[in-house]
Amino acid sequence: MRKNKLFLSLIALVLSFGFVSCTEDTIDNKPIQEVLPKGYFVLCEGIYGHNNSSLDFYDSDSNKIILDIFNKVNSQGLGDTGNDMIEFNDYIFIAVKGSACVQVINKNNGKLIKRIPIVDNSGTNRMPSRLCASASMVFLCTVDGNVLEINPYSLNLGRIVKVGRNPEDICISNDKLYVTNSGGLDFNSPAGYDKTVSVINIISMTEIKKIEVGDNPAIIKELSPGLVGLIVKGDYSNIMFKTINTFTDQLVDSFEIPMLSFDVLDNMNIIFANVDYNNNMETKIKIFNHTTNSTNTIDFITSSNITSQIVLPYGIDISISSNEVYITDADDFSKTGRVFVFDLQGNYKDKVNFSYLPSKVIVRN
Amino acid sequence: MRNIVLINLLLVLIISPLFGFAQTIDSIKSTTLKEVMIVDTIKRSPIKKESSSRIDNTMIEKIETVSVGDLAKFIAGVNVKDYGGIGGLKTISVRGLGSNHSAVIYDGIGVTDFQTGQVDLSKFSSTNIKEINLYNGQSYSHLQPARALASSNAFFIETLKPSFDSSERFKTILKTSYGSFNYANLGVNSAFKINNIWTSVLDLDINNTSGNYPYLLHYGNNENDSTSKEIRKNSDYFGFRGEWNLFGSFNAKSDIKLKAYYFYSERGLPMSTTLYYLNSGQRLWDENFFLQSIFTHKFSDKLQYRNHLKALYSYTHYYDSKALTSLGYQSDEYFQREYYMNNVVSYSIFKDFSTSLSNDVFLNNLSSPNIFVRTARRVSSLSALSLLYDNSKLLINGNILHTLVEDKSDLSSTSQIKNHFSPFISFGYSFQNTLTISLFYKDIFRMPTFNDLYFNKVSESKLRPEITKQFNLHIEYLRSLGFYKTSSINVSLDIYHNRVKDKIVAVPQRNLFIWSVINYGQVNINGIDLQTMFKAYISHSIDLIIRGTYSYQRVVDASNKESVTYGNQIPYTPLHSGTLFLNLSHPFIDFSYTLSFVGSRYSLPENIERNLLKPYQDHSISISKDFNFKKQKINLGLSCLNLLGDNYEVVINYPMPQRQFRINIKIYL
Repeated sequence: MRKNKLFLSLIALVLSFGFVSCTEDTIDNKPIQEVLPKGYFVLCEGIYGHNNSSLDFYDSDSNKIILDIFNKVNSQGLGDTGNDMIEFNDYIFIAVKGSACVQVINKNNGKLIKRIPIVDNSGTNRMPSRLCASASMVFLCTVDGNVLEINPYSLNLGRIVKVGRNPEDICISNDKLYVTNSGGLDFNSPAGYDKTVSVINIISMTEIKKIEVGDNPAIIKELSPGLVGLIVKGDYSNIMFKTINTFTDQLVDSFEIPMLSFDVLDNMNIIFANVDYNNNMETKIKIFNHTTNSTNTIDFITSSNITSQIVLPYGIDISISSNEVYITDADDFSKTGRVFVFDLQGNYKDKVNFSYLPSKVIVRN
Repeated sequence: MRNIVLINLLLVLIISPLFGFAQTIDSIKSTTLKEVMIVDTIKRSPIKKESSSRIDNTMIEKIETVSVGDLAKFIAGVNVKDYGGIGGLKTISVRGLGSNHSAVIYDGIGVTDFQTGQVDLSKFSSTNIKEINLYNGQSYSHLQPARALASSNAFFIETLKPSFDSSERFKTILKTSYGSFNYANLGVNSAFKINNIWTSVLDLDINNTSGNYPYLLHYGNNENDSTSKEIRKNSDYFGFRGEWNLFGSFNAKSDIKLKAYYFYSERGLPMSTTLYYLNSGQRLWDENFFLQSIFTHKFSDKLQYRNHLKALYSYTHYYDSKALTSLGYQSDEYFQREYYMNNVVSYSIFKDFSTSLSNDVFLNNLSSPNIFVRTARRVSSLSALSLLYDNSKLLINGNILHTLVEDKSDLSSTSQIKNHFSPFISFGYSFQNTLTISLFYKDIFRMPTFNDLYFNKVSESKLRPEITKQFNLHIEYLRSLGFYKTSSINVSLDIYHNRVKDKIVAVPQRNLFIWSVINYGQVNINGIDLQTMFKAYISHSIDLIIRGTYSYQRVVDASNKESVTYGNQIPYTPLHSGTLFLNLSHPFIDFSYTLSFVGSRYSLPENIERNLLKPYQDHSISISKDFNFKKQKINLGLSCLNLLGDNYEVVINYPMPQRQFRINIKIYL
């Protein structure tokens, strides 16, 4: 019975991506080797309440998929809603929102090093959301409106600084942290969205400024030294891309370009993804040059018939080390998703199925 | 292991009728046949049982349950979605159609929740229940409200009404139970015959439990994944129900039934068991108050009239002390009101052929001071014209139902009007009064709920009703057996095909906070329900009842051929499930055993191993004994639920209680 199920799902999996894939991917259920091969990790958020957040691994040497490598190596699940991950030296830090923790694993074998609980004094979940790192410290923003230091060597929590409401994302630029305060949990209450970016000095761990950027700021990333870019979502009908000069901490530019996610291609260009809800859910993956004043964009994907296969581009990760662009597809938020792989020129390379709601990719060379 | 149980179950189902065939055939005729049409009750005819499933008072008395939600599990074709514990939400989905398609009729009038569209059966205590009946399609009673015809299936709950000897005027039953996890229940049912016209029945019931049951938390689906022993937290429940009924029977021609009902509950919502963080601050308060009246008048043998009235007020308060909003908590309140009136007339055109016309008019509103949309209002009119031909051998029943609904909310300035005609038709034929074969077809829909329309999304959507079509073949074998007093055997088999179109589903859009509700997809359902009941009166002192049910449900997503979930079994519908009830009754002691078995099912639309929920079986036993003190009778009962301590989940990450004990004392005054 069980074997049959497995066999069927295997067939289903093979069939479902066999058509497009240029490589033969198989699911590997053998015990994990001591040291992982080359490939990439995919963090899949999972479906809320199902405890099925998953760290998957793609072995690019043998084209094998290891689903839920965290569970396989550690005999326990990752938790509920893995929201973000970053690497620091040999470690990967995974913020698991529902499970109120940051899981720290060894990047070479997937072994759990430490689970750091992220709760307040009363034991309530702070809801760890996004991570970023300086040369010597890991920073975590939490939905309860704080930024926490995590010492990446001792793996202990350090100082904590209060920011705005329901931070959505965090990045570092010019030795300062930039935190987008979305206020998302107040979207239907009189308080409404937050509209600020908190600026934190990482030496003193104090908030030095709140920059007003507009309702519901979301993803924020450093575009080039001294410049960060962020998506300001508003009520989703007027999504903007804005830039902040991190020397002056002033808004520089605003572009009326709707997008769900982006990553930085080079000092001048970003690749962004959007789904046009007013136009038959059409997916767009574009390159945008933010150094000009125009809102002109060009298609990133050069291969035909690929863009329309991406149902819901949930995350974009550009890896300079592997020269690849990974676009995660969360499908309709209720089915297992996949990752589309391209080279930096936008040529389609691969499509691999993973777990529920893939959102983030880290390459292991 | 689960195969063995399944085989046993099938064996019982198969053997029990054979047992009957093997005996000499006797010509005792079913006594139910000769009953005349009485104004007060559902018409008795061998065919009226078509597709109906009944749990009678004997069974309700003998099995240990707290709510009607626990009882519903014993009806074939019913999936109870149970979130665990006494305070856990329990909704039914019948034959894969979804819980919004079941009407719940409490003592003759529908119970509604226009906000969610589903009725939580954990709110109905089983202490004062006489019987429950599930009618797939609809029941054949002629004097029923149109609302009872306006759903894919109807779940009738009927409360206990005392019958008095000529000398008696006062009857009281006191009931108290205590059990594991600080469970305590105290109930009183007091009936008073005021005079020859009026009888009053007061029923009060209090339940309380801390709900802190132990469970095993699994950290993964693999066998060697770690586990930890945990205690369910924030799972407490307190409930009070008070009902006052007044029955008036003026003469042979008219009677009236009045009811005042009040329900209050407070409970913790323990949430799903989240790995590494088990902490919930969510609470829920419910309050319900309604008045209802059913007046029946028989103008002549041909013409009868009935009127149903109801006024309902309900209040729900959800509070989350740990929500990360700017207030530091989340607090949502919902107020619902309903004003309901039905008039129904039935006229017998000639012998065996009658017609009836039923009209319901009702106004529902929902208001919520904390949410975007503050009020939503719906005016509905349901009118049903029914024809019934019934000569005790052949039964033909058909009706056409007209629905007119007008919606208005403070979100939209214009009101939406919906206008529909829905047909129902059935044929039945009874051979020798033992074998009945019948067929029905029903085409019905459900309206989008207030939640679907107004409380879950950003922009207004234009939702269509969700349509169901049902085709059913019912074969029932019923006979009395001559070998002991009045033993009987009853086997029924239903084969059905259902379709759900324009299914209303909530899908996250843009991000996981903002959901849209859309009409999406189709569900195809093929299934079999098998129910057997065997009653034997073995000697003067020993009675035996064996009842078994088995359901097969193939409920598949037929929405989009391109989708990976096309052809997949939809979540939370087991392919196989079944129940067994066995009762041995002897003056010295009464013994009951129940088993409910649910096969594996999926927690998400994709039928992959990761989403598989393990099958489970829940065995329970009860023993009870009557003691007599002077004039009073005392019944003492002991039960053990989930005897094997199976650690199972009906809904993923909502563990069910393991082994529990209860002691029940009933005093008849």
